[in-house]
Amino acid sequence: MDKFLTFTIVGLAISAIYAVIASGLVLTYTTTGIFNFAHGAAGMLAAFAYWQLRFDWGWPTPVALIIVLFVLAPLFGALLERVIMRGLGGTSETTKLVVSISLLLGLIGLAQIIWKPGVSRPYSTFFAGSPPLHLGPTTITWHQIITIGVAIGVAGGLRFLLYSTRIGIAMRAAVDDQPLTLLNGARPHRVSMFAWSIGTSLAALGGILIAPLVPLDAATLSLLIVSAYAAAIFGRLRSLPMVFVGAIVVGCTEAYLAGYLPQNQYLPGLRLASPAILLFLVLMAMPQQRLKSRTRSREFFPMPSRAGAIGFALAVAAFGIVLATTLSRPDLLVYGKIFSIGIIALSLVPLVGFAGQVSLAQLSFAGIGAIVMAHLGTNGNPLALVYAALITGAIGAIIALPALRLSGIYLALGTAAFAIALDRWIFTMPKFSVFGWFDVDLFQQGSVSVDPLNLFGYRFDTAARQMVLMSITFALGSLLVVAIRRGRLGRRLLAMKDSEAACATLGLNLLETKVLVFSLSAAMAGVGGALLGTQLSSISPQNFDLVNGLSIFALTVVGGIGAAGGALFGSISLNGVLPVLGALIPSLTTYLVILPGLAGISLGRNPSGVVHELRAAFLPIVEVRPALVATIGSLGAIYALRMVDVIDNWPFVILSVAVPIVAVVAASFAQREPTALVPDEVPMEWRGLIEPWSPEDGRALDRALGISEGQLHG
Amino acid sequence: MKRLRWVAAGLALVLFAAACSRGDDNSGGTSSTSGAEPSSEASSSSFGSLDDVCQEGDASGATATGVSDDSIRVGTLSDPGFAGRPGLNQELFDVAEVFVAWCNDRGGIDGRTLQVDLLDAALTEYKPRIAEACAQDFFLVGGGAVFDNTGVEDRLTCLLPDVAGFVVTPEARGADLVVQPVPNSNKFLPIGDYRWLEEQFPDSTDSVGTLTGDLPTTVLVANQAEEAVTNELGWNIIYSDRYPAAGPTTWAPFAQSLKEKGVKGLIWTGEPENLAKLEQAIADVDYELDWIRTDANHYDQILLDVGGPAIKNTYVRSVFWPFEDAANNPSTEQYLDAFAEYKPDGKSQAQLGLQAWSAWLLFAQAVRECGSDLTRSCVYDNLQTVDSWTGGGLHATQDPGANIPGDCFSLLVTTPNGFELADIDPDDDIYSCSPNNLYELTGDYPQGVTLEDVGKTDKDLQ
Repeated sequence: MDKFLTFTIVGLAISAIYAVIASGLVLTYTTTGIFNFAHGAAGMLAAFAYWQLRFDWGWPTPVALIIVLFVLAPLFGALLERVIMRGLGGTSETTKLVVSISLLLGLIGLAQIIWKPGVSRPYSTFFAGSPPLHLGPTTITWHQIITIGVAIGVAGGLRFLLYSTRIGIAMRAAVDDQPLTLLNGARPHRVSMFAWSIGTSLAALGGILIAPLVPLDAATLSLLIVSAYAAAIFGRLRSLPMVFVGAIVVGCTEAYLAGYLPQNQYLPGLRLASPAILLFLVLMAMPQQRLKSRTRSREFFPMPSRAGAIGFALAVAAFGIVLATTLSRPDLLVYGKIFSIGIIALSLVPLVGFAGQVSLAQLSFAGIGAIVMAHLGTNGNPLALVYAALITGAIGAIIALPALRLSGIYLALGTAAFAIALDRWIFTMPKFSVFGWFDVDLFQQGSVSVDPLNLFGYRFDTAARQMVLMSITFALGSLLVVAIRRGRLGRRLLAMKDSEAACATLGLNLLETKVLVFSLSAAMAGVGGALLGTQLSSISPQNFDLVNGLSIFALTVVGGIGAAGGALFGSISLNGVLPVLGALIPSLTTYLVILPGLAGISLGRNPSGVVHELRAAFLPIVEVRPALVATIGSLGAIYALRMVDVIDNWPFVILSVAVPIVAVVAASFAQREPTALVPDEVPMEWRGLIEPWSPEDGRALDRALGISEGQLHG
Repeated sequence: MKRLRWVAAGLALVLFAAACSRGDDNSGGTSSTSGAEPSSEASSSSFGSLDDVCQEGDASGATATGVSDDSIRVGTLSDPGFAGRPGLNQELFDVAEVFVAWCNDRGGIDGRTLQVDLLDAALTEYKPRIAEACAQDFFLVGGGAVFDNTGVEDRLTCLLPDVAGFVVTPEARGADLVVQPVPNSNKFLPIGDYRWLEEQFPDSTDSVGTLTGDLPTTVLVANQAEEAVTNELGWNIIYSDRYPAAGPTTWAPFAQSLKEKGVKGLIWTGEPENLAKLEQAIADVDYELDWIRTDANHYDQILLDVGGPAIKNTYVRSVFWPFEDAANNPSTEQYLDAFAEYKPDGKSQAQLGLQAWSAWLLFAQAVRECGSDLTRSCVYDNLQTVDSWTGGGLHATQDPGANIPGDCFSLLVTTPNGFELADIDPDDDIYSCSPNNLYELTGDYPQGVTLEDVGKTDKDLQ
């Protein structure tokens, strides 16, 4: 009884914190429709700010609290709404998701820049010196009393706000029916800005309450909030009373698990993963959502042409060979991951880009692939790649089954929960035996080594060979992705993305299609992970954790999730540009952590991705044949000069970049008509209807459909 | 606007390709620092009890990888770039920079200046960093990395010796071509502190618990401690648990279990911030232990800052002279002065830093004895003969040559005024020494990687 009471008190105190955080999350989601992944990060930032004022500068507690909760946090929330979130109207769920994930990454980076990590920051609980109160056989600390009291206060305050104040009623009205509210003269921007201010303040309050219980670390604190997400989902992101009930269920379950799970070497991780598992269960218990019907979005992903796809694949392979032959061995080790991570990023294209199914667990699938490679690929057995594909594909299919019930933000949360469960529990598990048949020792509780691939007696055991292998695999993968896009499956995926309801009406088997695409993309990620493993030669769970996966996801979407080029862009940014900037300007290294976040946040302005723009910019070269031949010829010549050591690496690089730029300028001049390549001026389907038809419209249409010129209406 | 954007993208590509092309001198994970030019007004070349550590001289010749007429290039490994815990073990890099600057200001080692590559393994990239070091460095000095098992074979294959700041995994602890200033051996465990605790708290040894993070390396340390206290001292372990190394959301369950089982003495293997939270939780459930025994990494102000008044009866085993008492130990003072002079904002007050400094001294001494004829085998052979080493007085006597820990220890205890030396009845300065303080492990634990494992012999070392 003593023990039970103790854990009930612990559980209720945690529940109180979750409830405060989750209610803020729900407030912002309902009023603006954006699920803020960075909600926890805002709380983290507030916890740091409070530490700065209260403990570092020694301000009195009430002053520090008022400044953080009633000045800094609301201002920050309003700023987020005004600068970032308001620009997201009309974008897809994926784009909104990436923006808030990037914000999460950016805020973690920001906190690490301001508050140098690695320094311990003592953070005491409220009334730390006072002895705990005796409560029958057990005790309760002042911090716990305050926490529970605050949650009750927040519940009462929100009730008052939403039912008894004008702005609160406007908020509820906006949730019920936005257009109707507008017609009645409410100002939705003001309402949502207010909601974000309050939401951020609540996140801040939760952050300050939870910070003394755990180490003050940016990433840990930001991701702790997963439990609060589970509580928010419990209230279906709408009902605040249910959110409070959910918080109590989640908090107490965590506490009882911690108290009553037996001492066992397999279970410490389960305690950590339990919030994620609870989140997954709550998502599964939600009633099936209605099938999505027609959605319009600002993103535009044109169909790749066959020639373009082959050209891209050849260029990628050539790029790999050039890197492999010009870089020194240490540099190859640094930049070698470009293509292997690229393959993992590529697996997002059919799943997210074509089918519109968000998965945040691709890097976890890659981790599984790498484990398979480590254990079954002894001496570089290439069959292990097949096993990796089959096993990850099968796990992907299993994940797809529950995912069928989910979509959009719920699917993203579900896959993130899966990734966290792997990170915190499965990947750190010691050796276990499967029904006594065979032993499984995943990461050997630390790291496990992977042999280089051995293909028919040829060993890919140098960094240069691996670089070439990865680039060719990536090129083949990009051809596969284009083949999917151009084929029957691609049309099914796009149709499903457009309107699930319409697909179901026309008799398309949604279950089969979803399972297929999930499993295919998991298998691709698995193969990518297996290859990455052979490159790293020793792998540990840290290589495959959720935060790394989020960066890959965000940057691929920034590059353009609808095309293989986007995957390459994402991977080059992460594994090429960032280390280069760090090596060129070492003093910048600390600030680089924020770049992926910034890149993602800018996505709201340009949802189709960077590659889309690059493609448009360089298109004249392809259209003017002599320019294309001249470009390829001069690049080849420059490479030959480099190979016979006539020129050094520096001139080689400058020339290789200068040639295409000169060519594109020349080609633009050569084209008589200006290249009107701006499909977003008039939407494709309206051309010739709301303005007179011009031949240029025909060409643009051909390009978008991936048909060679004049094939249909020459 | 659009044009601007792709120009920016092009620029990023140039930068990227440019850095790729800068040859082997400086790549992603490496940064290179060399100290100031030798100054004419050389300060004292001695450190603590060691004479002539660094001074002008006429040694010359490009006699080995990384060695030239006027410089010696070495590598130092650490993990500060690990995104999960940025700044992890930064003190190793700080010590490397301070020692190199300090030494070069005095003329280098016999006239050859030191040049150090700071190799950031960022936890998961130990192997590529070893590959870099293999290509360019004479020795590895004063470094350490968490996953140091992942590159031992590569290091042995390229015959690169290591004067380690610290070693972690059993594969690296017992490996060939590694010398530790303060040995952390696979074969011996110092138990002097346990003997003292038994004397002080005779009632506690029937109710002892162990608690450690769920990492293989800390679990191994805890298992070895359990073996020693049960076999050699006949203690009774009534509680043995692991906590998630990432830190649990609440320590209450652990505190509650300790209270329920009536644990009187706790052997803790972990890190100070977590211990502080645990002791806070123990106080919250209104319980108190006779003693909590920890390793030297807990000699850290953070333990007291985070735990406040909840930190009680906590004993830290150490073989180093405490910073609080630097005034009574010239070498500790000299170490702090060097930091104040060359890197005032560096992380000086860290036990690992002292240990790394001792590694640099050990290396410098062995190099100096070789003179002009500086080869890896000469330095390594010199290191092997060192059987009594105090790092100029920074720590108790150790035997790096035979890789056996010393049999002396000191014990710090937490008090309301901070850390203080416990009254262990010292017989050698602040240390208490006895052959009884070493226990030879008998359990079946993983062993180190040898040259034979990678198809080499010690004759290959040149």
